[in-house]
Amino acid sequence: MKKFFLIIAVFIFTGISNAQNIKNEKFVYVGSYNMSGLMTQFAQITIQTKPITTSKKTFIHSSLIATTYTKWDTFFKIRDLYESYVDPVTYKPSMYKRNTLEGNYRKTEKYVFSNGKVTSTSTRMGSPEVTKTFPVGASTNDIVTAVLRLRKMDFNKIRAGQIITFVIAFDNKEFPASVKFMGKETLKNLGNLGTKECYKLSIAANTKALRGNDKNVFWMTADTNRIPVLIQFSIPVGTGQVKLTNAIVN
Amino acid sequence: MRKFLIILTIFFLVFSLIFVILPMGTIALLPTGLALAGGILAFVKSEPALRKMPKWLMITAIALFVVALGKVIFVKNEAENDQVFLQEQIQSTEEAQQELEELDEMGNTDQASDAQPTVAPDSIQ
Repeated sequence: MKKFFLIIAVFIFTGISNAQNIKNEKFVYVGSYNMSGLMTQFAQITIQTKPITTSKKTFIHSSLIATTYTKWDTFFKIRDLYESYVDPVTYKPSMYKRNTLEGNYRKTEKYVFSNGKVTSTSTRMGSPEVTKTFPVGASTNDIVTAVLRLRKMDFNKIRAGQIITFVIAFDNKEFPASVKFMGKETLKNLGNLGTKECYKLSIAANTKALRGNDKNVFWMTADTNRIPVLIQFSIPVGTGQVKLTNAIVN
Repeated sequence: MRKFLIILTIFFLVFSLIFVILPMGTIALLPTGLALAGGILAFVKSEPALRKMPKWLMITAIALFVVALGKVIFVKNEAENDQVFLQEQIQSTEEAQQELEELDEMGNTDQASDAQPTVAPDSIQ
């Protein structure tokens, strides 16, 4: 289950913004899992983006909150929080945080990006805190920032079939990930957005979490907001989808 | 045929019970519907003197179907307003803000190097 939310985080985490005007965004999704060909809704996923300021600087603060519906809590409780603090000018990550509770599995993780390295602090299942430092390249992102960058790309300059590559820091190492632009499609029933023309993108990464070619696909609106609206995923334990029910952009 | 239908109905009733207990939503209607159909068929195929068991199977299937349908109609998908989790979110943001402040003071946050993702020049299908 943790892989499921990792993938969701990879796909839809965070909001788009720019240096001059960091938007306040709130997107609510319903997470469904495929059981015998029928989709069973089991979790609410909320993505929020807002500015956060220190005395010297303003950051984009993006958070993803995944919560199982009350009726599922007795059987499998999920309370996941993924956060990222990103420079609004350079789109470079400053800090990435993860706090997951999935059934009996508990993990917290924090990455601080500075001077070409990541200092990670993590705890797992109540074990003592582990701190590690590993070098990262200039173009390395956390999973949140990768999607931020993806959402601000000019898709008018990219042809269908072209591949966009990223380097992502995760689990204390860097790994390459790629996104294939698959053209445009019009999707219906997108919550309060109704029908929208969307960019279709296929995710591939050198990780066991994702399965199959073009089976992990997501769509984001082909307008200035670039709202992720639908994700279809295929992971070792099954398939499912995450679909937008409500989107607010201020 | 009668015995086969009774066994089939019991089989689907067991699944129905599990699916009704679990929050399976509309999926629970599938085994309960099949159990109900099996129960009705077993009842119809039975001699009037041997209808007691199919009758009870049918009643059980109807009851489970009603419960499953009721859960679909009345149990809404709502995420719990978990105060502990909300507090964790607030605390996490406050801690991050403080740490970012400290990193800023140390001049440790990475500065502008807008490294963009790479787009492959050729179309790859």
